[in-house]
Amino acid sequence: MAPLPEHRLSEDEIRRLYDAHSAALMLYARTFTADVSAAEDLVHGLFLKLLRSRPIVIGAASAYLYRAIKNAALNLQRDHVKEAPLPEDEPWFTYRSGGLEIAVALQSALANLPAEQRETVIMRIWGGMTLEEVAEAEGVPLNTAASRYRYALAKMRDTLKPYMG
Amino acid sequence: MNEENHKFEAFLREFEPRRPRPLPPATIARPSWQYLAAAAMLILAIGSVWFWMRHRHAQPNRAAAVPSAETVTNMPPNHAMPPSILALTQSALQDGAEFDRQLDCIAHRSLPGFTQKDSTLRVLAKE
Repeated sequence: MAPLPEHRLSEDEIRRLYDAHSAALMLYARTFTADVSAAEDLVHGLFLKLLRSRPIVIGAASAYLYRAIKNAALNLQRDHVKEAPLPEDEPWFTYRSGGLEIAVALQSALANLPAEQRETVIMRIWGGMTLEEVAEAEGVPLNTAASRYRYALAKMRDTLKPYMG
Repeated sequence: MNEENHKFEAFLREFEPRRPRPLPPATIARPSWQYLAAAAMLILAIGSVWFWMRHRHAQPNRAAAVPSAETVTNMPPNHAMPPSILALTQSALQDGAEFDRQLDCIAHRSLPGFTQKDSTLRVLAKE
């Protein structure tokens, strides 16, 4: 197996990554914390840190971002384990064709997936990552990532069937 | 099955997760060694200014404290340093002759010499 390529992130690249992934990363962060501001701070903090330090990244930069957000979110959870989560009043999604109900249904379907399936769907659908990149981010073989994705889609399709035209 | 998945993926992509606030427009990333170098330069500059100021103030004091041998030999032993205003006032009140002598002594030290050939006072006195 060939070693993964490594390179130092430039400021332009970091900004491009932000444009491409910030929304999906925020959604990903929101699956760990109920506080929308905390999720936003996690994403913002990560990119500001990247701009300051310009780290050398091994492999796909997008995979690195999701791993970093997950670590930061888990640290946040550990630090605030005794605090009661605030009730969330802002839905995770807006739906282009309108309708809050269907957006809430999607949020519920996504929240009810097992964590590893949910992560796979977010990275693939809203992060625009390939299954190879998803597998790299999750540290699993490609086949595992592919089957997680397949199972997740099947479950969500069943849940959302009433809302689909 | 594959086509169904594609359709469902397209449906899911119609939902947009919320975007976080934009990043600040410009950041100047400086490596930490540059901050250290800047701090070292600042400390060096402050130290240099402090040393220079101290040296500059110390020199005139030393010169005043150590009069030349010639000055010392020309002055009476008890008048090496100019008397204070209080001492002069006491002399004026108690001993007129001593007061005159002290004034002479001060005049020799503080007024320009008038005994030399090119002295302005000497030229004026002649006119």
